[in-house]
Amino acid sequence: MSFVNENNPKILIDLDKCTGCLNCQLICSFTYHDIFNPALARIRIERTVDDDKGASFTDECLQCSICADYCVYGALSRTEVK
Amino acid sequence: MDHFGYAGNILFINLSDGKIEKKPLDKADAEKYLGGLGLNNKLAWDLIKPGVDALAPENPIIIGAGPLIGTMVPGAARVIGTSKFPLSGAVSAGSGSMTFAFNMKRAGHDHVVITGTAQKPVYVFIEDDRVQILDATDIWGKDNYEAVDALWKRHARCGSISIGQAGENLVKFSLGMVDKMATIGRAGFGAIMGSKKLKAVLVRGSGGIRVADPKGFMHEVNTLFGRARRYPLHSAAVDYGILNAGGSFMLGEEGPYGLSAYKKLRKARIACPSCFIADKDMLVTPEGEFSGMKTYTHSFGMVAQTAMKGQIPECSRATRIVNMQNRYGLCQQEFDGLFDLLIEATSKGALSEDKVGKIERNYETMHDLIEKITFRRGVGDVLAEGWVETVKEFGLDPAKYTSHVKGLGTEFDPREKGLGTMEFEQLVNPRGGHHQSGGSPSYNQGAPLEMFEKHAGRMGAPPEAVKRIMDSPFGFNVGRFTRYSEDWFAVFDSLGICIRSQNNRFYSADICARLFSTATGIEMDKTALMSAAERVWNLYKALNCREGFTRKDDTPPDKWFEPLNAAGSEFEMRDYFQTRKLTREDLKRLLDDYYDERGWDKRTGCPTDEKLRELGLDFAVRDMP
Ligand code: SF4
Ligand code: SF4
Repeated sequence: MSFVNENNPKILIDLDKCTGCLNCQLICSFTYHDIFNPALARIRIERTVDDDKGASFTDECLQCSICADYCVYGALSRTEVK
Repeated sequence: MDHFGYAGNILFINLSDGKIEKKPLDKADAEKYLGGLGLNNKLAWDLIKPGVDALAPENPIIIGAGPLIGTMVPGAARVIGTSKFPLSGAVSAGSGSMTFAFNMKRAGHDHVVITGTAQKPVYVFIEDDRVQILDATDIWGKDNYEAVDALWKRHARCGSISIGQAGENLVKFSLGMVDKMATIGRAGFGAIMGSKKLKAVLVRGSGGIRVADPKGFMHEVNTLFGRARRYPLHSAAVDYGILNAGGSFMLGEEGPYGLSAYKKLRKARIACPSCFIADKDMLVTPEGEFSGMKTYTHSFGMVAQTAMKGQIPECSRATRIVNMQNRYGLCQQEFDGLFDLLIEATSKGALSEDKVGKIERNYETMHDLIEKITFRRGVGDVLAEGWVETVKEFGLDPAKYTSHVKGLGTEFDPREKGLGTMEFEQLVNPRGGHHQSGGSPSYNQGAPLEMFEKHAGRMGAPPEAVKRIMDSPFGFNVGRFTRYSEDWFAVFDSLGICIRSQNNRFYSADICARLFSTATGIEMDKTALMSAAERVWNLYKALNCREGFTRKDDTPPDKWFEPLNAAGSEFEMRDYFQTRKLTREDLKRLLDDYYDERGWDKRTGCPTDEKLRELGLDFAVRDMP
């Protein structure tokens, strides 16, 4: 089931396809902070002890959609064509 | 040093006195040994006292994470665990995946060295600079899933290496589990942790990794992403993991282990950080006896293999076997080998039922043996010691009943597909009969000859070496080729990249050199990188020559020279292209070629003084035979 998060309506999230590779977080932090650090990313990827998954965007998200371009699993996709 | 690529530190933890120390990573060492496997080797050379008992407090556990880990380099998530392993007595490097190395780097540590023995069960919790040795009494005796779940509930999800009851009970082929999903150290890494009363190591980091040349680095990363996206079989690789065979599911569509059965069982695909294949599966049994049972595995193939071994028609029961092995932390490969030994010896009447109980190819026998080995009950106490001890205890002829090298079972039987590089690697791998460092197109059947030449070039073998490799009556010289497979593996395990063919197919020695240079700021071209890899592998070998291993330990199992009876036919050992049957003399010559290509002493099978000096390993010279 796909959904959008209010902080970034430009990206459609499909959690079933998310593998937790964290490339979205790595590219976001690298683009805006010059460092690979998921903690600085504006997309949050979660996995609980019981393997429940979550994805959301922080208030600081610029809606640039670069993270979606690096998601090779199709879990993030642009709602608008480039 | 400037911390580009590397985290910049080595953490030392002594479980005996609780002392914790952090030392800066030496830049010259980093340049010489790259990281991961390479720096682990150097630490092992300095820290492992030759002849030390694998289960003694002094035997260190050295955990390494390469310089590319923590970045977006695809599949850069390998964690390397080096120690003297109890099954072989060889200084060995086990390799695992998932988020441990990623967290370790983010916590600021390239390597973590654990020595000593705790008084009572403990676990280590590393959170950035804060390192705690905590009481594990309440989780000792629990399996990997229960123990890690309890720890994650306490500390939240993070990187973990844990052991189950097999490790606690010092089973010689117990292994560690990373994040409950990936295995590390098949020849007793679990027992080494068990001997230290170390139930688990947890790590969480909040930092990140910088690279020296961001633009140049991302250029290489984008090239790799582009290649993966354009690869026509990428979506099949993502969907089927390592069971992808040219775009279709290796086990067929229907049948008990076909694609539809797999899809019913598979609840999620899980990736290591930065990976674009995602080979880990979370399987949930949908109904019946084991309804709701969760099993994590790096491939559904493990379930299918178990089903074939034990002739188990029900998928849920075969999954249960894999589930047990992972919970207990027991190596499936070694178990399968010993299971075959018992089947063969009892069916030929060499071993009687009153000694080992009823042995049949079925679920019940497998289940029973796993329990007995893990908890060292009855025959399990003998089997837990591995091949060598088992045949000794039961008075069996090793030539007839075993197939191992240095105590590690040879999973890749050359009588099945021919003597490819993975089959051959089992002879010369310093850690024993393990195939992983011997990759080449021979992994799959029917690869054309041109592919070998191309692959050798991609791995950075110089043109004159490629000529030597291809000059062979067998199409290619497997002994000479294997040397370069090992060096290629040394690059991957040292930088931290996953060697799986689904990942390494996108890489070349050139790209690896540029990734290393742009990440770390240490300029290195392809030639220099491959010579560092050669140094890494020579030191790995030297570590074991220092332990007393020589050419005689690289001897092929006798069984390889007997015909294999399978599917109603007899199969003999042939070369990869099935040109002809291979004799002992052929194998001897191929081993000669391997040592020659390495520049080693053919008589001892160890690096020569000249070779060690040429590679800047002068310190190892006096310890060679
Ligand atoms: S890149 Fe895609 S698959 Fe990977 S963690 Fe992000 S959303 Fe999930
Ligand atoms: S849309 Fe842009 S800013 Fe927002 S999380 Fe993705 S990469 Fe970061």
